[in-house]
Amino acid sequence: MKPRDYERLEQTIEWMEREARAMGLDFFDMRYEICPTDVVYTIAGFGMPTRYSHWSFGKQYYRQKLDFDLGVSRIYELVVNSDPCYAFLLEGNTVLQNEMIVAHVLGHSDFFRHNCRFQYTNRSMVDSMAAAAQRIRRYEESFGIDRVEEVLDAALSVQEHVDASILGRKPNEDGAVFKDLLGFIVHHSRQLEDWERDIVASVREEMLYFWPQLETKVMNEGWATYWHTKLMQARDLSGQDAVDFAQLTASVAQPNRFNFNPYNVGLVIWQDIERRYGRDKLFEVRECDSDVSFLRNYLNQDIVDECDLYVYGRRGSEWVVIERDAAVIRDLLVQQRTNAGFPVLHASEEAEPSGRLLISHAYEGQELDVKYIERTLPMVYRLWGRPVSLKTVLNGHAVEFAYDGTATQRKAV
Amino acid sequence: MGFLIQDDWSLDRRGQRAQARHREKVKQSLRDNLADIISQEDLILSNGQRTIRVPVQQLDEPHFRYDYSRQQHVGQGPGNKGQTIGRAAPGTGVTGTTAGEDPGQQVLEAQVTLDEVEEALFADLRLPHLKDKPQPKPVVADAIDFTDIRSKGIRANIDRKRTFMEALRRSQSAHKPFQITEDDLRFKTWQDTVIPDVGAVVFAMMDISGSMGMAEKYTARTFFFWMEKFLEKQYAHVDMRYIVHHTEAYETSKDAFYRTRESGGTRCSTAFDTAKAVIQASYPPDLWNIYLVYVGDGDNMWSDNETTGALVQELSPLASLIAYLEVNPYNRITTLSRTIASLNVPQVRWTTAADHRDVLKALRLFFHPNQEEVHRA
Repeated sequence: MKPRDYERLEQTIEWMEREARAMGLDFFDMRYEICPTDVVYTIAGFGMPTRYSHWSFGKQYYRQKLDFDLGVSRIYELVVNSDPCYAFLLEGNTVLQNEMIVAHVLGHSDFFRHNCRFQYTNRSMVDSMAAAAQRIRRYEESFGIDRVEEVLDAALSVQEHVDASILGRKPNEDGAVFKDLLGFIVHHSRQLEDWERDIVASVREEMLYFWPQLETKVMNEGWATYWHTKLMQARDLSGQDAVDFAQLTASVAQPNRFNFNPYNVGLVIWQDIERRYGRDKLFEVRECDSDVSFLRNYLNQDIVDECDLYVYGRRGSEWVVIERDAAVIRDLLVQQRTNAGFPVLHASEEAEPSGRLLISHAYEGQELDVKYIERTLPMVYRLWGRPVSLKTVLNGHAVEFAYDGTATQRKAV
Repeated sequence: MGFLIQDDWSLDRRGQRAQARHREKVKQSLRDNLADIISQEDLILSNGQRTIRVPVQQLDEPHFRYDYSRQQHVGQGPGNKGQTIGRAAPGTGVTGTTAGEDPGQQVLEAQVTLDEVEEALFADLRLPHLKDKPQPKPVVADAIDFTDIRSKGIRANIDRKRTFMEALRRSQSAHKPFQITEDDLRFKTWQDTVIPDVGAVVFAMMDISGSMGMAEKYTARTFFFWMEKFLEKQYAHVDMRYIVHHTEAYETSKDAFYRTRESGGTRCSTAFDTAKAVIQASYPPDLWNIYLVYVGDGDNMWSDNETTGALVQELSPLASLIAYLEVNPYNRITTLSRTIASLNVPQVRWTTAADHRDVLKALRLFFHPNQEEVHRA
């Protein structure tokens, strides 16, 4: 962006927001912040602009930054689900790129505001995270960086195991089994000191905030892409800008042989819905669905063919295309998007005197990675302070992994 | 209407700081896995290639996750049923060569430079009992000290601050607008630092007899490779002499030392004998710190053990260290090692290495800086 571009971008923003509202989008008040590359990659690595620091965020930052420096891939924007909604734009982008990004984040902002999964997310999470980060910094001062890091390492290792369905209703404390492993630890661990419990609780809060985004990745990216395409097409792009826009769209929607591109597939599904059911249906789906229902209801053979989707798997030492049938692909995607792609675990506690933490994996045909089980159990033990076990199924047999503070043992059940 | 904001982020270093912390963890993991890392063959053969990939599994954050290689996945692109789209790495999991291309790429490797390995490895290695002995020739150290400022010099060494000050002083006193002229230029000049170096000579002695199999020779070479690296890194200059032996011993060049393969019986004493001759000819002990480092498999001719013991005893007053490493996969106690151990000479340090993973242990024992060390690990 050159200095004179800022004026053009401001004018475009004004036009874009007006046009988007006319088309039916209803987004939060927007704050567009132009930042240097480093800052955008920092925020991407941390997940939020105000989060505490952890080495894994640094790893993420480094990896994405390296890809950027090497020209492998790049981040164009970041948008935060909050009210007002913050969007971070790269100062290194061309003004045309940033105009497209503005259109794109308007789509996200509308989605955040109206999709039912986001109904209960904390819209002032930027501040909550800043507060948590400050507390964690104080803990570092009092107890040392290493001890704080140890607790964070442990809490982050099971961060995905929360129960987002408790949002908006009273948690049910009657049942003996909880999907909310982190919450279970926060409430029932006898090991944790107050400050440690606070850290675990903060990690849980943050995951509950991120959860709807994990559950609606395909929809949300597709929605934003759909609207930026619409909005950019409504603009009268001059010759060079039109070419640049076409190139940019092509690079964002580029397919990947080993992974489907949510921007591309999401966009095509939305376009298909519009073709089949009309414009109003779009807004209804954006409100009521998440990825699982979105894919199950609307992925059809036309879309599979247009996006060149296939199922592949391992045959010996090679990855091989197995299936191109829409029903098979749809079922696999639904399975993999269930619980945002993470294994479902339930936690309970064995009666005294053992006080053992029992984690059971709700096995539905997908096996867990044993090496990771063996590395993660000690982390859970760090938080629980007593023996921990995990039940799952391997090769058709029920097995239990138990960690007692010294070694992991595996036995058939 | 939304706002367009532009803040000053120039002081934001959170990304870099967290990255630095990650880097520290990589280094820690490097230190923890040194024994494995330094025995990697490609590292030793890497010839000047300064970056290596080492496995750092700890840095892949633990999670309960699905076994990727046993799952089916969805991809995009052309190709019919049955068509191969990529190769999976042997074993479990998938590790790829091209970033972001391969499925489920688990990044279990970190790139580290050879320098970092060396730094972690050599941090606490020293030549033990190194004494200040008068050296015949002073050695010019690599260090360059910038000691003076002159008005003539090479452009690369312009002292910007002083040049600026000079220009400022001159233009101010002449009441002229600020401008830097040729006369204002100031250059840093340096002097070579001449420091008398402590003379040290290391004898690398290796058994190349028939009983040393491929694995033993590999361990021996790995040991000497890192020993030399450490000497290069920690000391400006150390004389190296190379001796190999079977039933006879002879001095070789460095190249030949690492390459020679011979067969035949073993007379260990010949190596020490040759070292003794070289010492007498070129290294008066009152001027030199002398280090004798022997690696063999202990499979010595029985009649030679006593001779070897006597020679080691005889050489010990002259030497700062006599190190004996026995490469011995079965950890048996050979008569030679028993002879060496029974000498009870403070200069002697000895240990056994079952395989190349023990190289680190041996290096740390032999080149432990403290005076009051144990004789065997």
